[in-house]
Amino acid sequence: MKSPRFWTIALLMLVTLGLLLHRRDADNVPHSLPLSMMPLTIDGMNARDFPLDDETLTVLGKGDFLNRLYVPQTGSSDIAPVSLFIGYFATQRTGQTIHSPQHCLPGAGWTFESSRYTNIADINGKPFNVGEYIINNGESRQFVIYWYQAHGRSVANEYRAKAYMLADAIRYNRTDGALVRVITPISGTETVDAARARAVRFTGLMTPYLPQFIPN
Amino acid sequence: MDRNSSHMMAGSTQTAPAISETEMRSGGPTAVSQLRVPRGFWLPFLIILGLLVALYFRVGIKLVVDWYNIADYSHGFLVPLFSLFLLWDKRHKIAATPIQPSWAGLPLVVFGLITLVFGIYGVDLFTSRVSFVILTIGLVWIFFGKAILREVLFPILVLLLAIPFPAIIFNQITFPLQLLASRLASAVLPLMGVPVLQEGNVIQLPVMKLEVAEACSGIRSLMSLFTLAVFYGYFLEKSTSRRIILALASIPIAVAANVARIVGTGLCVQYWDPNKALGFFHEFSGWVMFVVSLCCLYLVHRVMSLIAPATKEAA
Repeated sequence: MKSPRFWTIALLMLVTLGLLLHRRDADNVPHSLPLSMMPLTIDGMNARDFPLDDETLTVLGKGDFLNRLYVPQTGSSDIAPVSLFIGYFATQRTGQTIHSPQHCLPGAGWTFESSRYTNIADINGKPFNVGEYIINNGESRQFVIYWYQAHGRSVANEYRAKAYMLADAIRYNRTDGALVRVITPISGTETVDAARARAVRFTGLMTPYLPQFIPN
Repeated sequence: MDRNSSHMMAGSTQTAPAISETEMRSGGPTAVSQLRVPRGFWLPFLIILGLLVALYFRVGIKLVVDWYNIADYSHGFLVPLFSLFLLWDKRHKIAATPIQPSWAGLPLVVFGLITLVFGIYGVDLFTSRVSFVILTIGLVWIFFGKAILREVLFPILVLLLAIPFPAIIFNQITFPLQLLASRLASAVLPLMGVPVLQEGNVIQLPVMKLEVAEACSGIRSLMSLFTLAVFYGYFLEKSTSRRIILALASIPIAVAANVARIVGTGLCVQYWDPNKALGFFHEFSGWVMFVVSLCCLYLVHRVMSLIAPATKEAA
């Protein structure tokens, strides 16, 4: 009982226990609007919702999901549609994390042709760190922009997003976050740059709405 | 887990003296001269144990819930038992090892505790769970010394098998394997008269679509198979190097079992009954997969013995 080793360890463990008890077992979950309230018209295109099937929802876990196609209005048939997917998780405490398209897209038969991290600015000049990808599945090609959005920060790399999640959990006791994905097809008659311009323009018009759904 | 963990601790930190006492009572032949148990010997350990349970109470409950809910980690229940068995198996050797408490274990204890706090505050399950293993190693080291730690290190490290891997890293490893299995199966099926169209992990058969695994994940059963291979190697193989080879063999075996699963389903669709094929496909993800993998392990083991017959001491 007199062993200094024992007292040292017991004290260290007690201090640790105090630290653990000091932390509540629940996240701060800031108020946010449901994603379904995302405007139905963006960049002159109208939304068509494609609800996810139950199987997909099971895989994705407990979150709020938006799966939409923004289709050009009739009369402007020369532009391709833009698909918007957002998956928002109010808490990732239970071990469910955001799925990376890095696996989902190849799993569905898409191969990554090219990828790069870049910055795009929305219409208010706010910069966003995003990943840009060109994917194909043999016959069709698509231009993809996706990034992780949490607490007003945009991160393209999933490991960095995870690191920020740890840091924010420690600092603010928040583990909410989202994946935002914009896809537009690259039609056979247009250049990659044209498709990219369409995706970037849509993204720049859409992102100002994000803070209502994904709290800063 | 915390119940297991307390057992675990009971195992890891108290085995030596506990055994030594029984040895003394039974007049065992082991050298117990350096193991005289002073009065009040147990109280500090009970306190440490109590603190350990308090620290890991929540973490442990969540882990057990995960074992129960996540099919790929149901083997988690067996791991602590295996660990205890290992300790029990080595009890004489541990009892014969001198206890030399040493401050050298302190950094590990501190590191383990910091990892735990980081895991709880950072809401990262993996970190908080792994900290238990780090902390346990540190505690054994500081209270019992290096010699005993060497004896109980493997049983403690085995516990890592029961901790679900972070998806972000696990998928990086298993996803390419899943794609490989899909590709191989799609190459084999046409040879057997079943036309297929493969897109990633989605395999289009003449009458139906097979989604191999959930679209985004890799071979999820890999961790169970790896654990199975570790158990198998421990019980049926004596040499360490061969045990390691067997454990690593679980990776190609996992791929092979997945190929077999897809091919089997394809054959069912083509030559038997499409409706029953899906049943087969799902059945095959469970216990059949396990049996097939075990047979594969046995074959690998046999081939190993044929290529390099075991030496006398390893026989």
